[in-house]
Amino acid sequence: MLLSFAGQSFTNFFLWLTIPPWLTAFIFSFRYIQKRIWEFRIFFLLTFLCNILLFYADNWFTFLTIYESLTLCSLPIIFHDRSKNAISGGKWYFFFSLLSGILILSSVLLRTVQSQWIGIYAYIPFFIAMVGFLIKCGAFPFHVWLPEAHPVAPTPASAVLSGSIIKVGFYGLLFLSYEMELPRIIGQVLLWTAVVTMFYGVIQALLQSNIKKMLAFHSVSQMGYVLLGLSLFWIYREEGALIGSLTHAMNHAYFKSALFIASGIQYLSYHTLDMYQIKQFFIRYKIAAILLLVAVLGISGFPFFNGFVSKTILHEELLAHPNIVYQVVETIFLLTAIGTLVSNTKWFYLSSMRKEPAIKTTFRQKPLLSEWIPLFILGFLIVALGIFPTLYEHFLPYPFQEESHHLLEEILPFHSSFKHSFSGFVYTFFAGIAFLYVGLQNHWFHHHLPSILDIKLWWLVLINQIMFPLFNLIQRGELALIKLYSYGSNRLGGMLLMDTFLEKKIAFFYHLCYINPVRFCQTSSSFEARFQENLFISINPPVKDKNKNPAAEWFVGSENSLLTGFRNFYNGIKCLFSISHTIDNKDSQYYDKILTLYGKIWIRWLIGITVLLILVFILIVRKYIP
Amino acid sequence: MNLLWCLVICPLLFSLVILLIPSKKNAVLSWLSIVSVIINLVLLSFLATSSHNTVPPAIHLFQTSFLTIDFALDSLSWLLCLVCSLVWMFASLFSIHYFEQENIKLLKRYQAFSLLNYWTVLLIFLATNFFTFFIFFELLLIVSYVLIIHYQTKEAFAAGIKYFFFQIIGGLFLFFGLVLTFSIIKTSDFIPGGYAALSSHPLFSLIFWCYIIGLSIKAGLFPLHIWLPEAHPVAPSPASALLSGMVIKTGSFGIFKVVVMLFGTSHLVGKVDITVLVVLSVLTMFWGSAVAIGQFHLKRVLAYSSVSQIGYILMGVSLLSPLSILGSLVHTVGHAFVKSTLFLSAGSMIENTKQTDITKYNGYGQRNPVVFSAFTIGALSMIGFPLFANFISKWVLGMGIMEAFQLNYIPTWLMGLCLSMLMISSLLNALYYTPILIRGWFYPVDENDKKPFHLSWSEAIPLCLLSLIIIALFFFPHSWINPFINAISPTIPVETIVSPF
Repeated sequence: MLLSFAGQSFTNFFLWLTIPPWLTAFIFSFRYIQKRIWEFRIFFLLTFLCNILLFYADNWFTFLTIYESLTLCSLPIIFHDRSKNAISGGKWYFFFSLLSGILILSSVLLRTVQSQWIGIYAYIPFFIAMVGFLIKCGAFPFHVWLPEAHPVAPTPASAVLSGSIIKVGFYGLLFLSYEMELPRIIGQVLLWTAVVTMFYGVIQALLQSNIKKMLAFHSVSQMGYVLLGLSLFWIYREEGALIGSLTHAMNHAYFKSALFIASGIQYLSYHTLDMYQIKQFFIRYKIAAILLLVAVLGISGFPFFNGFVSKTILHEELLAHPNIVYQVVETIFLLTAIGTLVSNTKWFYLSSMRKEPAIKTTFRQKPLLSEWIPLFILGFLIVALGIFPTLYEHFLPYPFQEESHHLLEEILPFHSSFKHSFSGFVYTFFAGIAFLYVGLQNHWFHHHLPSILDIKLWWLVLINQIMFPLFNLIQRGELALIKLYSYGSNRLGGMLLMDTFLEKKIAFFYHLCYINPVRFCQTSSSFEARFQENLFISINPPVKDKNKNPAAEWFVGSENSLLTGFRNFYNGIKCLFSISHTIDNKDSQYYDKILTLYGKIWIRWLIGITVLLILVFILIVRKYIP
Repeated sequence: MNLLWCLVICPLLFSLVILLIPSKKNAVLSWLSIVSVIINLVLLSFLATSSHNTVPPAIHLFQTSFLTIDFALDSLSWLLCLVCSLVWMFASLFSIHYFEQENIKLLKRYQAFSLLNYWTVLLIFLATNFFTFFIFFELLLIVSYVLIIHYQTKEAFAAGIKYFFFQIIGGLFLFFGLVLTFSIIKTSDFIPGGYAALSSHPLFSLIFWCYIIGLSIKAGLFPLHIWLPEAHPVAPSPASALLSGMVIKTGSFGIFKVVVMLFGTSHLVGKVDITVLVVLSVLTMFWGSAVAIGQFHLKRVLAYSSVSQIGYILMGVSLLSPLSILGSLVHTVGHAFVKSTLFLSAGSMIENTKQTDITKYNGYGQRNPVVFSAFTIGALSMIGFPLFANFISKWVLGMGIMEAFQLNYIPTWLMGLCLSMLMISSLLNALYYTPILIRGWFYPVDENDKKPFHLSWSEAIPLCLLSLIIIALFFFPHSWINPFINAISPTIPVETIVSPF
């Protein structure tokens, strides 16, 4: 295997998906990025290059190389702010991406011995790779890095992160699904992951006050839609579902980057990301506000905007299987659609349509070109794809074009079946508006989820209560090993009574070396001199000037260094996953409080529940294993 | 033949010259050792073609009825000598600046013994029987001890004595194994395929573990690695680069020779002892990384990382499949370059900031970008990121695990353990390397003085060249792996090796 690049069947489609967010975010970065401009531009373009090259990867070796380079190159643009929060958020992203890369690598290796296994075990490599790509997609239990990394990254970076980079995981899953026939069980696993992802994402998004965090949770939820279509494709091998998920991925890339750029414009003028503090956006920036509205309508699935097309296709694919399971899924699907509408409309309403007096900040009437041109490009794409859905079929690979033509024609405005899907939307719309009104009146959106449903807390518990103690144990093990050696050597020295004096001297010396070098240093040992003499190494006098000696500053005490090591270890790891945000300081206090108050009691419950879940899972899985 | 003699004698001669020359300039001594290594590199390039011959150039030093001291330059030892010479050349170049202010007498001793180390390691790679190997392995103990105690501080002596005793005990084990071997097969020559009599002997386990314990004390296998994180930090940085880059590799190379050419891979398959060795090396992989997370001294972190990487190498050897053995040799080379880069740049970092704590390098990347870029490249390579050498070697090792599983050398659980630990160890590497990198590049500088550090050419050149080598090894895997496949083909059934690249 060597690095080799060639166009794949989906390359064209993914290029169309990827390039507009990158292009628009790059234009926007001219306005947004004020410090370290060239560093940002260089790494931004490098990441772009990796993202493009990934779709040309011809084998797994190339794919992995580009995949990891993408992670590496995108780090400087996420850390661009240099604040503590940016770094801690970036670390979540980095370690989750690394985990994903490692899983994919092991799956690629395991693939070579696939023929050794029979039955369901033959799908182990596939399953491992699937988990790896789901991490990158931000699927349910692994979505934690998205709401951590997005709010802290500069806005152009979050736009591409959410618009293009998480689609890489989807591309990987697509890449996988063409390699072999899949058993239904894997499709079912993906289906339920997708359902939980989209519902959980939207619930969390409703409760956020930070705009970028809300958008990040929406990314999670919208990726749930995309994965739902893919899972239907895996189960039934129907091309319609795949077309639905592909088009939704493309739509999501467009409207999500538009939304992020709009949030960036708001941040530039109001210096806050709290949506409850942003007022009268429409009066100040008419063009930007209208284009924001276009993106909001796009993500809400409003007719004549692109979200409507893909959501309708996915919805119809669900309705094609009249089955109690799919009725449940469809209900969740509609609820998620309502939630998406509510949450985005809430943002637009709060920022643009409130009649309260504006806070006194600098007033700027005309937005710069670099602010509204990117929004305009994306808005144009959103509307064009919404009005002419048949445009999609030009991007899709050849075998899908016929199928997609049928599907997309039905969604053309004023087509006979358009009325049906439009009326479906109307119910969603009124339900959503009612929910928004009642919710705003009753302050429903200021609540937190009960902490047991907070997945970030589960991860923190995993790190704090399981990983730390494990590594602590290993550190203690190393110390115990050192003590064991010193004890053993002492005993051994006593046993070998050949030259009692010398042996005792050696044993004592040896003992001191391990136990307490300080004490050893203070006694001038004749043994040391003798030892040097015997080995002919005392050619020169010892160094007098210790200032020039870097090693002298450091002290090799085995015990002391290890004990300090513990302290440092705790600080180091805590710093790795330190919990705080730029925008929301209350948030960090909240997690700290919960961890200190409930962490220790919770751990038993969490472990118990996890074990129970694993048992149930095994019971279920056993049914399918021959 | 004459060229090989030159190769063997040149470093010895130069070390004598360094000891005797009445120069008062530090740079002269360093340049002498560089010249010696460069002469050897030239000699090696002349010897390149003849090492592929069926009868490679050899030296028969002396021969009694059964004890022989023989050296031969076959293609494998040629490759390893080349890597060794390159690493030594870079470390010596680096030492020009590093020892600028050093006491001339101490430097004289350092450079002479560094060359002696080089000479000994070369001869270990050239040895054609275990007796020769053993003699120079023991000699290496004495000459490398001098590098460890170079600063002659109390800590250095403490670490040195620990090193010395550990190695003496290891030597005793090796000697016992050697005696048993002679009593059974009357010879200790390395032959392709190994001796069936040795593996089927009732004392097999005893002999095997004597060899493994003796050699893995040098290599730093899990319960015997205690000396390593003590000895590396006290030595001067160029010396620790050499110790970690090449000296501990002699142990793993010895295990390779013993397993492949004394016992024979085909005779070892399915024995419990080799499974225990696999488990131990996998444990080493995990243990080294896990302990490194808790360390705060930069060089100790690197030393524990070496422990973990030795685990990779020994795992490759003990899995016995051709690809995994190839992987272990390839990883030896990759690790030699990468770890010497890391230690050399760590030397500059410690010298510049006068700090050894890993939390004290905030913003170092802005003050000395060249050195910290080299450190970054080394660290990313250690983590196993693509674009850097170690990704290739980890890939080959992973393929080796799979091949061992496919050939039914290891059961499924052991394959799962090896693979998962290979991956988890990468993740743990990321856990302790990335905080250093992030601090260096993205944290603001702590001190008031934000001026860039002075960068000497003798720091910059070796670091840049090593970084280039690390990157080049990734982009041209053929040029690196195929010679190794050709080199081990006489000893391992080559038709089973399908090049992973």
